[in-house]
Amino acid sequence: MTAQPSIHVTVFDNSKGEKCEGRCGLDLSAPGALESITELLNKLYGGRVQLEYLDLAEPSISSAHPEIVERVRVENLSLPLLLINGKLRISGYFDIRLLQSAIQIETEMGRE
Amino acid sequence: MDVYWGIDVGSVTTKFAALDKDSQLASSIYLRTQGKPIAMIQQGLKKMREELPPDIVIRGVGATGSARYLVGVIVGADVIKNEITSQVVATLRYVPEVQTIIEIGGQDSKIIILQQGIVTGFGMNTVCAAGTGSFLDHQALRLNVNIEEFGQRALQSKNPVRIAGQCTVFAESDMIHKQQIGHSIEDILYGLCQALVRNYLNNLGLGKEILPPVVFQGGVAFNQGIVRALKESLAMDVIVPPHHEVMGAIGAALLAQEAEKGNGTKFKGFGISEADYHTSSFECKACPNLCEIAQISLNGRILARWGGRCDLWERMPTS
Repeated sequence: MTAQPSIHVTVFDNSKGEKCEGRCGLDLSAPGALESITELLNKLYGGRVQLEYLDLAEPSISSAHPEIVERVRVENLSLPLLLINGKLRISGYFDIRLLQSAIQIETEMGRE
Repeated sequence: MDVYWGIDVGSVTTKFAALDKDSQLASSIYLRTQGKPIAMIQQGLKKMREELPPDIVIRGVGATGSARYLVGVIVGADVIKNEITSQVVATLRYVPEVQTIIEIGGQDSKIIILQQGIVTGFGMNTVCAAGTGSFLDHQALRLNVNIEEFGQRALQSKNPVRIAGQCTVFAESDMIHKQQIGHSIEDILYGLCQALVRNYLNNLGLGKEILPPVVFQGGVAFNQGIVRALKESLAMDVIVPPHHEVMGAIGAALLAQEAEKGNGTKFKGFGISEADYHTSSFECKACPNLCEIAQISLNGRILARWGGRCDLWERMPTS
């Protein structure tokens, strides 16, 4: 039996940036949100999915990811950015359903 | 008559497609899910049975859509595939040279980029409804316009108004303002089409090279106003293929046909449409959301669970 490949989920956001007034979707900058989603993903995927949240409001994070900062600026991308295994899949607000859907599609397409 | 079935159950619509052994569409059905996926699966099966010749033999069943695992359990699917794979398989059949697929459904939108028939990129909608069909549904209701007439009336627009449509909440207040200052309904409707297209391209199109041929599918492709707004925004032709509203189901049927190797099907039979499923519910305590989970049973045996903000229970074995 072949082990299933792991999935790396990266979320880039700016905790100090403008937020939609609709307050739709996950806000991983909210207290406890990252821990709660990480725990849920562990229940769903048994540790096969690693979630990383990177706050571009932190100078150390933005300077470590100049390509993302540039892409957001040049392409006028909406934050948050959801990347699965380094590939941009959603630009803008997402919820746990959309996150799961992106993970599942990536997993299935990887197998094809 | 040998038939391969594809079933695509989304949060807003449920689609069925039956293909014959030559992969030609023999019948299709498009229903509103109305929050009742099981009832719609039953209704769709019943209608399909009535529409197809009495001598049909089901050779394979494919399931796709956000409720694909639920369909798989209830109907007995041989193949369960994500929406992107299903859409691509079907589109390549109708437009083999396609390079961009724009799919706008009721609550989900996607963009798929292909090179020589291979998926090289895809993007999904955000949680914001402003780039999906439900945005139009909501605004049509507000304007008292039948959604079926929306597109034709939008095409009558002479001076479309710019609607601040980046969010359904803002769009509604802006629309009221535009009505109050005397803009015609047709101009507001086309303004909404342009707003949806703007939202879609801003959310999904950014960072992607949209190359022709561009194929536009999903239920929203019925709306001629959106088709025109897309053509104008992209400054290129946009192909709306036949059966665009059931492409996911056609793809699932094609995948079922491809997977069939004479091993028979897991299809549980037409009796499903008459089965007396019992639904109960419980509260999931896996996270602070405390979602209500629906539990579907038949003759006292739990068959499937669904609902909630994630699919924890949908993928959990029931026995």
